[in-house]
Amino acid sequence: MTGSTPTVVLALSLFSYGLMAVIAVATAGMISLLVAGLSAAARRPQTVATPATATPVEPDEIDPAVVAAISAAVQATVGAHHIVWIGEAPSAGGWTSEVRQKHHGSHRPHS
Amino acid sequence: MPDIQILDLFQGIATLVSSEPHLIVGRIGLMLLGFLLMYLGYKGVLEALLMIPMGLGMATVNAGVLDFGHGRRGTLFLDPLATTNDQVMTQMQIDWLQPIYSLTFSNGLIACLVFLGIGTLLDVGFLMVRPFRSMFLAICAELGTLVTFPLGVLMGLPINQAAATATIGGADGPMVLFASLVLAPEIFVPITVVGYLYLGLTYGGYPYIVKALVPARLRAIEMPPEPVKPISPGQKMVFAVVSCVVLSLLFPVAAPLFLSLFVGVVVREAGLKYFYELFSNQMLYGATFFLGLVLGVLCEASTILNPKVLILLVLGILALTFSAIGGLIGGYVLYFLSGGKYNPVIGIAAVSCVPTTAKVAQKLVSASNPRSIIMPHALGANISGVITSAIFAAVLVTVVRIAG
Repeated sequence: MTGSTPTVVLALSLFSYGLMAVIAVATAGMISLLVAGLSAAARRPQTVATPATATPVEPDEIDPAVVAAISAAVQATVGAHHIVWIGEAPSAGGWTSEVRQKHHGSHRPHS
Repeated sequence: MPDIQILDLFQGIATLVSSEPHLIVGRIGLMLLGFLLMYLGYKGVLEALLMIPMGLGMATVNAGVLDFGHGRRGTLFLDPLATTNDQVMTQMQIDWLQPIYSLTFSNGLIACLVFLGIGTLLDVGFLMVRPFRSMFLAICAELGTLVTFPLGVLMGLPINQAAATATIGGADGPMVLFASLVLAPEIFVPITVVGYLYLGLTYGGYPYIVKALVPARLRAIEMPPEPVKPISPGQKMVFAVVSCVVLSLLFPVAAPLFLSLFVGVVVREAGLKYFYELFSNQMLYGATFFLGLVLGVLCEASTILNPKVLILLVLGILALTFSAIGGLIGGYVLYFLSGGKYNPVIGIAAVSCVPTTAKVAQKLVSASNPRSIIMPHALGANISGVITSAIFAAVLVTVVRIAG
């Protein structure tokens, strides 16, 4: 790899730079297309089955005072809205927590 | 009582005074440099996370040289010259950092681990909001690599070593480590040390370049408000997956780096919080610590004192300076195209030293105009810089291998 003249290397450098620029611009174009395509797909109206009733569901374990405070905060922030459900965000799945607990506790087999 | 010479008791001093003059100067100079790096890291002039372990490693390894008998000298840290399986296995049982070096450095794993951590820190949404502007700036900020590659050959380096050194212009530490391991393993230690030293300097040095090239009234420009399309995590994941596969298809030689970067992005956007916490904290900082420590330990005088180091020092600073100038030229182009509404300082953030250069840009702009917020634009350019650096390194590795 020692026989290359500076002129050849300059040409190689310019070629590499140009190729990098073309790929970078193509990446930018791909990003634009992705964003436009996925945004359009998200905007498409979806036919969703309407639930027969949409009554507020209050999980038993939440304190009524907390429900009242959340409702008041929602009212103050976004105005009058019909709250359908209040509860914890859905977790990734109970089995992962169980496996993790077993894994973490594996070094204490007798506890 | 046997006849014991005082210097036989203190082998570090004995090996120092009995060395050749250039090694005596080199060892003392590198010890002092180690102290200086630690001090500058502690003071915040250089990147402390890297420079403090690196500086102490550098000072200690040059103090701790001992005689092994039969005319052999070395340290109990690591032996970078061990190449055969037998040598490596023997050194792994003697030198405490040899396992880290042999199993994570020489195969590029540590660069990939750092890249994985960086991937979890990247919000590609900043890039996806304005992809063309960000990519344009990033392309301009690769000027240092473009210029340094032929300059290296002009200064007497073989083409593979010149190309590996030129990747310093991409201002991406793991990329420099990876490219030098692939292209020029014979001098990867000095290239990587020089690269990381200079990358540590960007936070302190780049503001001077910006102030010299961009007048205060332009640094104070406020970016006009613009409608910003929200980018969902799903869109970011699709971008990461498609980019990873397509770029790996184009440049298999850099596929490990692409996978490391984009899997970090995917972990972040998929909300895998346990992986996210692991990669963005323990993994990234653990890898950075060992990277700094091993780089410092590799700076033992007999290893690092190579006539090419001076050339690498010159090329390294030229590469980063030209990249900064290129980024600012890109910023000026957008300034003129936008009719004077675009802050040209954002161009410096396209030099992909994530997130240092974006912070430098915002700091300089805030000093001129506290109301001007350019960080979202700067981060977009910054992330584009990471991607263009990876692409440029992959192109160079491929082209140089074909040419060689």
